[in-house]
Amino acid sequence: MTRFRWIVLIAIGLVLAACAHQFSGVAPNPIGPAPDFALTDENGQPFNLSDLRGKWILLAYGYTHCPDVCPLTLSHLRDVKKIVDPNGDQVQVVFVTIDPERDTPDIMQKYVSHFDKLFAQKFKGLSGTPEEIAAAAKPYHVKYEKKETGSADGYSMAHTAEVYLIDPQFNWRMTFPFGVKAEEIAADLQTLRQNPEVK
Amino acid sequence: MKHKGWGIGLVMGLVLIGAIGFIAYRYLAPVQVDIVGVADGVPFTIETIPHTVLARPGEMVQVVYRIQNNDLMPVSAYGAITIGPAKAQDQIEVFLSQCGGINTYQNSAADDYNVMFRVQPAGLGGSSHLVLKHTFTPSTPR
Repeated sequence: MTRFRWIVLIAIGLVLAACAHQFSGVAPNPIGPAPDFALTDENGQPFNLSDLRGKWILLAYGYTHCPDVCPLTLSHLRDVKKIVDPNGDQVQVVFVTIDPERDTPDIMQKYVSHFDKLFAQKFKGLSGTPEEIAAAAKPYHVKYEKKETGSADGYSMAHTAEVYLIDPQFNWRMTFPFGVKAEEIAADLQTLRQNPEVK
Repeated sequence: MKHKGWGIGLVMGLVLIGAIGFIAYRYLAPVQVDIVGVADGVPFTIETIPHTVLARPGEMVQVVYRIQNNDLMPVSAYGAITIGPAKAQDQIEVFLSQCGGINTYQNSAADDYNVMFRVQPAGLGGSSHLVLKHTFTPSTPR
């Protein structure tokens, strides 16, 4: 009987292990403090990323003339917010431009407002000088370059398209590539909110 | 006679356990993925970090392509992905890491480019050993 009980316990253990949450993002190794930076927010005010300490931060880089990836990324982040924190202020979306030449605070404000209409807590849209943007991009390994297109817009920006998750203790917890579904990011975020020690 | 029946039962039981173990292994075991970078007509030294990874099915994996442009000038190049073996194309999902395609490689220090992917289990018809290859070729200005 004792042996049978052990077999049942091992079987249950294996089933639980198989059902354990599998993260869709990649955690930095080791997990450590998120790089801070100073930029200008959508209201033209100085803003440090660490001002958001105490909240979960979903951080993305892009530009307002982006034809596809950036609007899709912000739509995904809107959907994540809708799933995990629709009425709260515990999950903050932050969008940083890599096109400071065109994306002024006023334009960033108009752009992010297309995506945060559902929420009382508005998305942050950050801009700055080219040097400030470069300093904000480098520690997250964000790469970008200007590409002349000859179109009416004049140029486009090629850029890396990842989303970074920062926890309320201001630790960089996860990186998501473009293409991961909003539901998958939300599931990872929910798991980390419930079990902050999970790696 | 009684012993013979017992022996047949034991053998069948062992075969069944072996078969279940094999199937479980094919669906749960990590898949080996070799990470390869090839410079075809471009003056690059490409290091992949790591060279090989054991990816658990469904797990997001990040690898790095460290590219050193050995030319005296910045070089424009495209990276094309191929998966091997050909029958395992659908077994690996490589995620888009860029918008617009950064293809100018500066002639300064080596630069790191992240690539993220996840694999499906080998299963009964898939492969337990895959190759993720990026081939870099010169890009023609448009």
